[in-house]
Amino acid sequence: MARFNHGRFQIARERSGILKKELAATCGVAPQTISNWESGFTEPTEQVVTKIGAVTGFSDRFFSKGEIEPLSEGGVSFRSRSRIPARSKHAALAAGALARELSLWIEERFELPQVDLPSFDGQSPELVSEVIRAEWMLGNKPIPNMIQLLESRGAIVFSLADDVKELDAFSFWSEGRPIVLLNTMKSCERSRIDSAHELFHLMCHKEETGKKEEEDATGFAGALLLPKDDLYKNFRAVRSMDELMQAKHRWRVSLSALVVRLHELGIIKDWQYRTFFMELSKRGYRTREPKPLTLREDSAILSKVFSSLRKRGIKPRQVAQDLGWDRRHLDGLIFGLGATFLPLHGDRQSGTTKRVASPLYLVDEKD
Amino acid sequence: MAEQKRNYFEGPAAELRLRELGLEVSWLVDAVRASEIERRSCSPLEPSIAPGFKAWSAAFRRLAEELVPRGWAKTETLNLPRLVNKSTAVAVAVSSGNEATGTSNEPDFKNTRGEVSKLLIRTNQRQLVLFAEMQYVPIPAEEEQKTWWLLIYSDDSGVLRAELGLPIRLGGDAELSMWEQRIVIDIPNLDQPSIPESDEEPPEILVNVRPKS
Repeated sequence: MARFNHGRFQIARERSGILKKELAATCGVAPQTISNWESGFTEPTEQVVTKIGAVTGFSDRFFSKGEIEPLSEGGVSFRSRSRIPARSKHAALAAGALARELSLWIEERFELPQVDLPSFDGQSPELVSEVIRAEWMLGNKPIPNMIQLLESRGAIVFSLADDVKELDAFSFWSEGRPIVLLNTMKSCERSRIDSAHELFHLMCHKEETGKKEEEDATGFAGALLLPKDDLYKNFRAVRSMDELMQAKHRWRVSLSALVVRLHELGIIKDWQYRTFFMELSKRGYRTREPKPLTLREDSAILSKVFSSLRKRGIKPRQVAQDLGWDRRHLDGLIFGLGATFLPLHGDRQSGTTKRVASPLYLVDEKD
Repeated sequence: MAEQKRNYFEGPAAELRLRELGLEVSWLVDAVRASEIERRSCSPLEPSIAPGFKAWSAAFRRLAEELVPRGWAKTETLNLPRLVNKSTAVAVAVSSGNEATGTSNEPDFKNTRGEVSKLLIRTNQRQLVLFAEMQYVPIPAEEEQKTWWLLIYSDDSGVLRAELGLPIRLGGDAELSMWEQRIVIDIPNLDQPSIPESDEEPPEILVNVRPKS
């Protein structure tokens, strides 16, 4: 058989969320044998590789490809690191490794925006947001699409499949290109905050992040999405939750993010902050966003790439085959980002966003 | 008319008079705002008394949150809560006022008063007779309290007015209540143009992608 790459085997197992002992039982071997395969001491037979591929959703082609660099936990900015089960964390890191493969596959075939992310070291989140807004000529206006803002600066954004739903987002650098994995099953409001949060990590944190770095990234997300001058201009005071609900649509953020920012800027006082947060909790708005945004952000890169491939007769199935993946692994990385979806209600939304609808699946055009 | 003017405070005079009573105008403004936030946060699906009740409760609570840490005490008799400063014998209760609240016209309570209010207003009246000569002198601690009412008026068109009044006679069917003093609370205009949902010209974000040849 072709060469068996043990690193790829581990990524396949972890991406599928299968424990060593579970896979051992499936393959009829001892759990130690799985460890031996993963560390490269021994190799499975060809038949076993095919069986592993069927269970994990990868073909022989995947296992026989060259080295794949696993993502190390320290090199990734996870949100809520401590609360994430190990299995999900490993599945997410494996998804990151696949995202890296897909991004390299895309880069081999497409010219993408040049990477242009400044780096900062110790500056306050508020200052970083002001610098970014000035340098990127965003003025004080609301940002219409955070994913595309990241893409315009050279990042590639992928989706986190729903089997790692405990995670909001994470990001890392791969061969000089920033990669963001975003949980597209969360609300649009949440995804925008997560995108901005990851942008801060990419620009400011090269090492493993702790509580302070996470707080700063959250502060930056609020400052970037809710620029203070625009808030001061539009808010004289806040008289009701309804006013906040209307206002959140301008900046396309969650109600709670808006309340936090208004308090941070002194537009509402401590007691109002407490009142609004109590009201948010009472009404269940902290877990279920009220009057949610109906326009989801999509990825310009993935839309353009898959649209271009389709025009050339290359279907998503073929992309997956070329990578040695089952379709579900490809679908998982681009789900909810606007690439080659079934038209909804007869037509595809144009522009920077698309209407929320689920579930959506990538489809191959019929031969 | 001159008598009425003497007992009617607004602007800087209102702020000074409030200070004499141991109150800051910002505390009362916050209480009024808290009541308004609560009132506007009510759903039409709640009982019809909810907006009024919740607004009243929120105003009292906000005021209590300022005053109790400063030594005032919360007392309650037969469902009439008051905030009492025992050293100055000033007490404050909260109520809805009618449309004249916060204007130069004579206001009144919006709703019929209960027995405790009647008693407290009679006490205010009796003290007026006893201390007619000493109206603006700090009230001795050992004397009974004078109960002031924070009257709040708001309507659906966005009008929000308030005043702190010292009633000495309760109105009847055909007559208005009588106020020994009225201090108009200047509520900064909270009206604001509705916030535009989007900018006409959002920032341009270009993502150039093209196949390699």
